[in-house]
Amino acid sequence: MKKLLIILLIIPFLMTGCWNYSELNTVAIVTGFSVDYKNDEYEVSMLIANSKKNESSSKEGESQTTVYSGTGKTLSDAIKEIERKSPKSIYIGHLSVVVISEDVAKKGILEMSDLLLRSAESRKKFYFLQARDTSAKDILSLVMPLESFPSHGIAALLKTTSEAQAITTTVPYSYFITDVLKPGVNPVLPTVEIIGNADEGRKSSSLETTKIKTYLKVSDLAIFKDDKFINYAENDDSQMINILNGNTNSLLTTIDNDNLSIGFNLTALKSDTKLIDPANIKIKVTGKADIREINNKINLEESKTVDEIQNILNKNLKGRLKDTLDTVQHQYKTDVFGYGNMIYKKYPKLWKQLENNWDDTYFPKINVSIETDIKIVSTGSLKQTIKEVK
Amino acid sequence: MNSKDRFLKIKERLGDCPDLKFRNIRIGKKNSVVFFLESTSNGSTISQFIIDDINDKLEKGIFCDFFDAVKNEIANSSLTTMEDDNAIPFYLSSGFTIIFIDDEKQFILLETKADLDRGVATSESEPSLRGPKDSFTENYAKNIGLIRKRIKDENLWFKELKIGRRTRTKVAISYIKDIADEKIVKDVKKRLQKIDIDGILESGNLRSYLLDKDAAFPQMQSTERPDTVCQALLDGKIIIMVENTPFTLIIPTVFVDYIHTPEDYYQKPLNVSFTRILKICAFFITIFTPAIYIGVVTFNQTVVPDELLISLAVQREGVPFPTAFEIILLMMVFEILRESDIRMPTNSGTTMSIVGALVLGQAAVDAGIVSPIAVIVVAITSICSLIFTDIDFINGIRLWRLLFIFAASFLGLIGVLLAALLLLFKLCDLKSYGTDFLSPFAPLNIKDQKDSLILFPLNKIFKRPSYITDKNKRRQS
Repeated sequence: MKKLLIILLIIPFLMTGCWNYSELNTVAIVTGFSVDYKNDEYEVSMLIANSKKNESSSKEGESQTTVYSGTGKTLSDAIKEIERKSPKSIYIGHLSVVVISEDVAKKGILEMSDLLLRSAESRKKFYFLQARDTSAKDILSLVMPLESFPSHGIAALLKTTSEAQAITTTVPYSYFITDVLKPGVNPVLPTVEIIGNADEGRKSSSLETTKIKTYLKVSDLAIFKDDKFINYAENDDSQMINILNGNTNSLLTTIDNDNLSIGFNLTALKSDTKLIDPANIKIKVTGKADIREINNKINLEESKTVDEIQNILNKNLKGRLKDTLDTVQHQYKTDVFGYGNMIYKKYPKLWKQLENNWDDTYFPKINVSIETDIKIVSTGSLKQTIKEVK
Repeated sequence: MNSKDRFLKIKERLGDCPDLKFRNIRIGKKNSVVFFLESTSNGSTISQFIIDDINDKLEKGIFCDFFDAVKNEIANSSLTTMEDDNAIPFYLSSGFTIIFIDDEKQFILLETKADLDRGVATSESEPSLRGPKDSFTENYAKNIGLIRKRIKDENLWFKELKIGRRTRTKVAISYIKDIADEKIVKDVKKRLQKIDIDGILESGNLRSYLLDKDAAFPQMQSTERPDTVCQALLDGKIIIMVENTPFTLIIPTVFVDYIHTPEDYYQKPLNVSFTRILKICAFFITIFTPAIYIGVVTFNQTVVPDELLISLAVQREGVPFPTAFEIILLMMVFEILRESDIRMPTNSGTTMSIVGALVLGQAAVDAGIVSPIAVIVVAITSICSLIFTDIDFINGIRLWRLLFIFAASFLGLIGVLLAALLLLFKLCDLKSYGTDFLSPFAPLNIKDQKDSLILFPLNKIFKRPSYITDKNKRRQS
């Protein structure tokens, strides 16, 4: 009896017939995914990372990549076409970058976002970005220097630029979709553009020169209204939006005052947004600054001078933040900061009335006061400026 | 009764064996026969201390009663008299010299054992860096001596039994009377007494008689180091020594005993704790690595970091076998290599390592038969299993590893989890003479943790492990 029970318990496991079994060399690992929209059809491209062993390379792990494309009325139609072309089965569990083209963004993202969310295989933590002035497929197929995995190159590029320069923001897919769905917030997306000739950039021979002619560059943020793209932010606006949203904690900036220009490295940036009442918002930006470069005479040994510089820095930053806020409020008229969401949380009843006309009518009217408190903590290894010593 | 006839009868009984030597000595009117087995006795001792002695005394003419005279005057440390002729073959094989005297019912036994043993040498199966180098030998008396030399306590008791109808092997149960649990002693003794077999050649023969159920992991530690045995005795454990083998059994044995070594107590506790944690890690690595590799590569690719997965995929490119088969193949090759390495004479060992390392490692990868990562996985697994000294324990790990591999190749990581649960259940269920195999972790005893995974300084450990004995708990004041 006991033996029978044990056998009965073991059988269901063996009867599954290795459910979900797939050998690694029979799957095509997709690390990049791009969506274009052309002639009423979606074009999906996939970057497959394990195409073949690089014979000349001494390192085992290095691999070449291949891009497959397919078109169809829906994404799954397009993927079906790719599966017909690829000798290995498509596996999207390790997707790290998804690029969409401007056309797709203009058409609305929610229409195409279902597939990647619904798929049980997908991890939903990949970077989501938009191609600027080029097709998304071109971004994906560009060969990158310094990286053996091209799709990781894009991810690494996004990460470093958002950490060090605040130009972009890294948006994992799930956060982006949450932003789209949350009431009172509109999302922003990082964008990437190709500098040089895209056809040239697909050849791996383009990497054989030291001066790369075609390369990817992180561009300004794409601003969305609901799930539709409306405009690109100007360079400074991207950075300021990121600071106001608290998406970055460091920024490299130069401040010109008369004939003096000082380079700062702002770190530990924090923005604290407070909703005082539905019409008034107070933002306090705090942080630390290191002086990186001074091009003229100035005596830093006196604390008065440092205080002066600090004041100039704070005033400058405050002005720039204010400008950006004005642009977003009055020109783009889309609430990328999520103030509407704060009202939704604090005054849910009031939000019901504002909801429908929030972006166009109420958001531009909201009164935002900005305060900056950046402290200069380090003047670098030099006490004086070189010009002064001379 | 005529001694000559009596001797001839014995000779016939032993099949007229060629190594039975005898000598007639005539004393007055009485004949006597001195006989012994040349192969087990020391000839010069017999000539010098028996024949010489008797001749000496003959010349002096002091024999009135021959039997009494021989009994009392011959210089021998273990002289006995007996009547039962049936016992003679046993004593002859044990290296005794026997004297028959006319008309005397009793005969005299004199110990003249030949030295058929090697000397005390260093342990080969359990070498030590720090600590005593001696190890047990095949000589039973010497082995007991090696223990007595270390524990000079009147409470160190040895209970002797003879097991095996034909081999008549001496088996000793040894324990320190006021520490060890005497219930276990009684139980062991009862089990040993029940054994009715023709021969016991090694302590391993007794194993199955001493256990109720057999598990993959050994519930009995075996060692050839006297210091390990003495440490066990002091902890309150019971040891079983068998004649003609250096390997001694220790009961009860728990899991942590395989993590511990006798050297632990000779080294700095902090470093010992580190080594022990390392060993536990090695235990898990050696059981889990191949299974997790299979599970991750064939079922749950999602859990692997991107770069690693691509690297794994590229390495697997062009390998003709499924991953599970690849791993099982390599594991088998390694096990064969290890088994043949043990049996092989040392001077051919180099050939072995060249064939093993170059042909199987490098060439198989270059030929694309196996992937490099599979070789790495098997190598890590094998190295980690060799950190343990007890061969039974290593083989137990091997069996479980195989089970894990099968579970992983059918169900992926879920299979690994199920197998891990099964392993845990089995280990918790296992008992060695009433002691839970996972003590002191399950059931958890905080006080015993001073010498389990972490070793406290010896002057801080006041009590013996409570899971072994509850008598005489304090070890130092």
